[in-house]
Amino acid sequence: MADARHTDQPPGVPYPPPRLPAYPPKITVAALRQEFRAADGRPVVALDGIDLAVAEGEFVCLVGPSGCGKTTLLRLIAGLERPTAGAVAIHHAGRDRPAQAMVFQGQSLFPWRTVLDNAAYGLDLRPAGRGRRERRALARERLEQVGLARFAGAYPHQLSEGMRQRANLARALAVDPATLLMDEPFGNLDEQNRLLMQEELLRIWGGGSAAGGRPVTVVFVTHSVDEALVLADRVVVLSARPGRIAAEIAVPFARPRDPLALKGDPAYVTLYRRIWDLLREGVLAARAAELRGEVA
Amino acid sequence: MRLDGRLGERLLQLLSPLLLLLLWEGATRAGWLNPQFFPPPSSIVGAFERLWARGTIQGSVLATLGRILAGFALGAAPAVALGLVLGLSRPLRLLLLPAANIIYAIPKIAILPLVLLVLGLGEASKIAVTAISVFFLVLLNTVAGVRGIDRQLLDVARDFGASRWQAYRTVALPGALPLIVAGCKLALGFALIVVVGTEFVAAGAREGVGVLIWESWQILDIEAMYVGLVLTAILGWALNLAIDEAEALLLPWRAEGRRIGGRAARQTARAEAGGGRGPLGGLQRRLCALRPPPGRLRVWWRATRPFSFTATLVPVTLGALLAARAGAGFAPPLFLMTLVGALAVHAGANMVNDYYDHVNGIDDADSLGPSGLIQRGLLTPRQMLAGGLAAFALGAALGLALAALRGPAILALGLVGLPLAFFYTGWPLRLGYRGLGEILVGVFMGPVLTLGAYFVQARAFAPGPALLSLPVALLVAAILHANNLRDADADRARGKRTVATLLGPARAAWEYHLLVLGAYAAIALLAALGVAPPAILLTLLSLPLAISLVCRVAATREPHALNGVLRQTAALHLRFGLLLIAGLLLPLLARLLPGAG
Ligand SMILES: Nc1ncnc2c1ncn2[C@@H]1O[C@H](COP(=O)(O)OP(=O)(O)OP(=O)(O)O)[C@@H](O)[C@H]1O
Ligand SMILES: [Mg+2]
Repeated sequence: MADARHTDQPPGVPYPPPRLPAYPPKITVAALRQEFRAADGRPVVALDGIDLAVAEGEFVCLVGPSGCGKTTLLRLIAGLERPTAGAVAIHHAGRDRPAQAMVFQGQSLFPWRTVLDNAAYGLDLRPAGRGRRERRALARERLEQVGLARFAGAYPHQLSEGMRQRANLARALAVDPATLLMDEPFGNLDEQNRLLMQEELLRIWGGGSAAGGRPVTVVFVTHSVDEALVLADRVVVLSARPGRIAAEIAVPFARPRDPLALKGDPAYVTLYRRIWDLLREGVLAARAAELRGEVA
Repeated sequence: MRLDGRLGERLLQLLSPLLLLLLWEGATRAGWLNPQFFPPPSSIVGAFERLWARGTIQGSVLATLGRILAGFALGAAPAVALGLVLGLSRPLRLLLLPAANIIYAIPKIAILPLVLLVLGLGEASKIAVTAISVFFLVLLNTVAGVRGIDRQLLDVARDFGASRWQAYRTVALPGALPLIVAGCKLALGFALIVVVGTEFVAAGAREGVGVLIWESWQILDIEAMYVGLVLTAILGWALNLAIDEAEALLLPWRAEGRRIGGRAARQTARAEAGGGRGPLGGLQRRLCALRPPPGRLRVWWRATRPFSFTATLVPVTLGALLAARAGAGFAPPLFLMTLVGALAVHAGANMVNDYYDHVNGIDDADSLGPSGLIQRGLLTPRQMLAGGLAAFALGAALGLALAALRGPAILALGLVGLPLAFFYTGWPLRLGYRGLGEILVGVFMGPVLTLGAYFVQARAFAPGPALLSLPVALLVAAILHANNLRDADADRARGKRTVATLLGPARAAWEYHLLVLGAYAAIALLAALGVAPPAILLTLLSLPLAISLVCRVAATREPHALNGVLRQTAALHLRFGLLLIAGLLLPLLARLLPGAG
């Protein structure tokens, strides 16, 4: 369905030129640079020279070695961080839904709220005329979607790590955001739950024009190349620190995708190989740089 | 079996104060201590009665408590508000916190003269000094609390578009609450010290515990002075208890954590699957005070549902204690026989309930039974039934022995009690499933057990124990009713009729309110009518928990939330029972000491 936007790339072309999105751009990132101050006061360059455009309704996966700035990029897009240089923008009009909601990496549930109240958090902040009952009912629906309805009354510390991640997701879904920023949301799930949650997420995303016909844009950080290839329209590979875009790779497979059938597809193997090589290069380069730095 | 867990710990905690009192009493009687400076505890009790009759004690405690609470409220409220702001704003923190730290270091009693200059000798200065000492403690704790919040949680709030005010309300305040409560706890202790201190110095006031101590010292009424000291201790203890109560209310997520810990998720699932119907099934597990032996015995031990035993423990102890109060003495072997016999019948009823619920399909595949042992294949249904009957047999044997020793009235109680315990859920009567559960359990684990235990010691019946067992009966019925409230929908579907299914949700909630609040009304009435000493009003210390439970039942019909209510109701019953026993024990202890009054 979304394939009209992507042209197949013959294997062997390592760095395809960035595509022009066919839909209006939802997120634009231009010449972005982000520095932090390390504990010893020296500047750490987390991201450098990032140019990226994400189309409305597109599903983009970010992959890259640990510490390359994936979380930082998401936080910049969400507006939780101010860039050192360059510009980030989410293009969003209309006040009927929030521009974005983030699924944070790691522990981010409120320990003092029950799972249900956590899921309803965004709704509670912006009731938009909905009463408490209605907000709880909505949140409960989301919990059902992620398979947590039975634990609505539990507190986060009573859940397993994987369950907490799903509650996290439910909280973001509950506000019906135009863009979902997801930071390794399925990292701690077991294989079966991971597949189920991927399916559920794709259903919610709905090929870019979700339930109710409103497009949902997704930027999804993952460590798993498999996951990226099953989910994404496009995979953005970041190099090791300082994070730069090493490649943008279109994923041409028709949707709905069957993860098992995909793995037998020769094109899948080629793409997997290519992304894997890029990641390995990045990690090795970074290690070499680190070593040189230490010797010097 | 080894005594440990909470009950064991509590008993252990009582040991050192009791020992101290005994040593003290002995030392003065033996002439090792000069009774002029260290009057024996028994004579202090005498002074207590004298002062109580004059109304001095009541007036002093009320006056001091009033000052503490006023100072606390005036100090803590602005401290929390300012602390939240300082915690979140770095510039303001840098600006103001150093000053706060410096003032905090000054002993507050040292600024009393200054405050007296400004505000005069009256109430205002006492309350102001208290408020100031409370303010800085709570302020610094609140700031530390906010600073300790995981930054990511604040980011979550920002990401969902929280306004500044919303970030305070939904993240900073609840996140800092554990430390705020800890600060309040410290602050109340300080408030007590400061108020008593100001009552010494600025004795412009007529009344107060500090005034009592100071004035008794001046006229060398040493015993009255000790009464003042004891009152101070009791005040401090009661304030601590109150804040513990408040903590449980304000920090439910922490309380749950303590209760079910790491097994939480699995247990939650089990609880949701209907973990517990039957007489007292599903009671909280933390009251399981005796560590079960390993292996096969352990399975049997679990089959008895030991966590529900407090429902029997309280009335039996109450009855024996009332007999001792009535001057009948206290025979430990008889008490032990009574207790074991009653527990055996209780355990039998639990096991028979497991068996019949299983064969009647009340507990089917998707709902584990109260103990779940049959469903998990640890015991066969037949074994469960046999175990129940064996427990009944043990209970009956002990009952017969007691009847032989103490009189046929025990026989009568047993002849009525045993069949009721069996047919509670046993075929064909299944009284508990015909809307009679609360009444049955209330009568049995209230008046029947109390009177039985009383009779065993005193060889007579009396109206007192029956009356005093009523509040306990109401609360034990409330436990069962909470269980039925939670299971109402499931029970309706399975054709099990309980008062909760018969009344419908709204009126069933009212029944809960009546049962719980009725217990306190009964206590108040009994104290007012002089049936029992005013010390039984000690049970009122459990009132905050009761009120919070009533509010929760009024607010929700969710099984999950009601499961918490069930556990807490059982905790309320136990706490109420222990406080009642303590209230009855206090004057008794005093009287047991020779030469008192
Ligand atoms: N607030 C901060 N202060 C200082 N350094 C930071 C800060 N946030 C991130 N960094 C640094 O920026 C780099 C990128 O961090 P980021 O969290 O974005 O990595 P990541 O790609 O998400 O890694 P992972 O896959 O392990 O989650 C890291 O080297 C990290 O140390
Ligand atoms: Mg990250």
